[in-house]
Amino acid sequence: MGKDRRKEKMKVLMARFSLDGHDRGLLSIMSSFRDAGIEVVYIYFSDPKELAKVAEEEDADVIGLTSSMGQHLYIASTLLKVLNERRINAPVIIGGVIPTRDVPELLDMGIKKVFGPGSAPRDAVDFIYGLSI
Amino acid sequence: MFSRKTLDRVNEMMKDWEKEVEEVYVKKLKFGSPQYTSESGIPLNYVYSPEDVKDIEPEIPGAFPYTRGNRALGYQYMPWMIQLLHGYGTGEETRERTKYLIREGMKGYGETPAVLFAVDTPTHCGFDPDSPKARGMVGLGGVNISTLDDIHTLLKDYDLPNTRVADNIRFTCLPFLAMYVVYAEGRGHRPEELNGQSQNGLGNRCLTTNLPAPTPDAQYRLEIELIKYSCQNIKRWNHTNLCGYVFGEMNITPTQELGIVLSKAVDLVEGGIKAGLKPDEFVPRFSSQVHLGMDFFEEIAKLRAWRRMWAKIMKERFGCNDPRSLQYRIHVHTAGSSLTSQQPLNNIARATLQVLACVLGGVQSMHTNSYDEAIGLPSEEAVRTAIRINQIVLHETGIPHVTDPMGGSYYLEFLTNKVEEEAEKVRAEIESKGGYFECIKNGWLRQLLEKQSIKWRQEVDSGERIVVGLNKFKIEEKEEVPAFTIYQPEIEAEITDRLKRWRANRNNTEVKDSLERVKGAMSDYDNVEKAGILMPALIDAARAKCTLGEMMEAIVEVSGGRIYST
Repeated sequence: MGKDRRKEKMKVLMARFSLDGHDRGLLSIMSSFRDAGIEVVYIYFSDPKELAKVAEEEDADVIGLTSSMGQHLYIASTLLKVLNERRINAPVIIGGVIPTRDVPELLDMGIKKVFGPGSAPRDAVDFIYGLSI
Repeated sequence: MFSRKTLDRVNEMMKDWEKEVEEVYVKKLKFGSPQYTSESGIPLNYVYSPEDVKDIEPEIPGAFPYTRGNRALGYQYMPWMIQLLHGYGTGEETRERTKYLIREGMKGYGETPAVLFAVDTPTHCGFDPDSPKARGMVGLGGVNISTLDDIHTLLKDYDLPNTRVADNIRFTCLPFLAMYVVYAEGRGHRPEELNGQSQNGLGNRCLTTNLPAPTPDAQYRLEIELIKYSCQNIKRWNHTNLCGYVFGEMNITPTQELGIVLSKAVDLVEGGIKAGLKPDEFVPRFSSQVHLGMDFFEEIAKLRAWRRMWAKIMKERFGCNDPRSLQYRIHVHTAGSSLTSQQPLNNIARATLQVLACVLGGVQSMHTNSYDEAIGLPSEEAVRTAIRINQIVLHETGIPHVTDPMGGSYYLEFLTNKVEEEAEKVRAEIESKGGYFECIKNGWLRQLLEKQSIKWRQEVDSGERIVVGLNKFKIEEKEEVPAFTIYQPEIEAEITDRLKRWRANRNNTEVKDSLERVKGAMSDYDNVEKAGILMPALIDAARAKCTLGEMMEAIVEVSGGRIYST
């Protein structure tokens, strides 16, 4: 699992699938992360392998995905497969427009937390701080 | 508007009113006197009087500057168009949804069918469905189109000259229009018979969605190219949708939306002139997609101010004489960002208020959101209800019987003037920074959008802004309204398979040669003054059965841009 981050700054890699243009939620969340002292790296990706590579290079503590067009099951499953192959253990969280009925499937495949509509940025900040304790 | 005597009397009466507020409410009842402001930050009084509108000029509908409406008669003569943006999956599925919507009441002017379709992101950006870049996204949020066959599937049941075909496409408007012209040609129609519109808003789509797009300079040239081609060849085509909607969805204020869109219009009119067109040749064919949010009166004021400002700019700045150049036709898309996924039926109330504001503001056309659109694509029941809101306002309330029913309201006339004043400040600021396209390039507009959307969230989180069901009046949510979804992997496989057959059934030398000619034309088209040389090459490419993605790839190979990852 992750390193002892109690004395260090947490680093989150926020990733948007390049063909999903909805980034309003992401902007707010990233702003809240930065205000809470969390380091944020933001990328777009079209291939999960690119994302895994950046996660490795950046040594991210958490990977945050966004999905608002219905591609959440696809990107989550393809990304988790690549992360597994590369033995990258950073927990993956996902936010956006995600129907409640898909949440169990996302958690089953290994997504650590789903932030659907109605979640506040504070919820994600608390979740990340919870990981570092 | 009022005699000095009347104003003196009003002022006396207002003194009594102020006295009562001060003595009864403030002193006795400890009224806290909150300062309200409009969504755009305009400070509001508790009541308005003739004093606030004493300087306004009397106006009538159908006369310059058209604040009260473009035509002498409004909805008495022609109800608004009920157009719903729709589309998902394959052409067959979208065609069935179109039929359903038309059956329930979607229509253009008169009895003209309207097909206002959304495309998926691979189509927006110009990635064919078999491209690795399109994986997982084919058919989501819109129909996929890459070939003439796909257009046929969508439109085969319609008589094209009598159908309003409006594609809601971001960056591939030119290749799509070339394909549509060739498709219509195959059905025996000349371009001048066609009727509909292009989005032609590459710049604003790139700003608000950050999707892979050509460079801003190339976006500007591509937009001017489409204006020139359609103006000279498809007279009835609305070449450019001046879309403020996408800015509103980033929580830009109503006055900012108006100011930004006008700054864009100025850039495009100047570009059209450089391309050799006279303003009266192409200004009448600008269309619009205005964002309509929850600040009821300010939104009505915005619609009225919009017409007035447009008329003044086109007449005074660009010397337009044709009344059609001065009459801004408004299509509204009610604010998706105002919807909540919590207690989704509340969204019917929101949409109803927005439709009412549109009708009081005298719009020509409307897309009304469905109550389940914060959850996913709308279900049939939800879109039908959205249409019914329009039909109830139209047939049951009597509201459309009188044109500009709010005209002369002290408050609304005051607010219309204020919105005009504030929007003009935004427009002038953008112009002072080099104009709309320059402010895309230098990042100023994007920064403004990001700031506004973060501000909205902070206001919701702090409780300063109340959104019913989201941060107040919450309930324990069960997912009672199911999300409408499609089985995407199956659709993607089917569409990719079709494309494979299309590619196998064409002359590859012709394809290759015509794409080289597109690249050559794009490379020669280095200045808007040369507009008109790219579209013929694209039409040839469409005749050679090139796909949407291949044509876009040829354009972007020359123009640069299109960032996939950062």
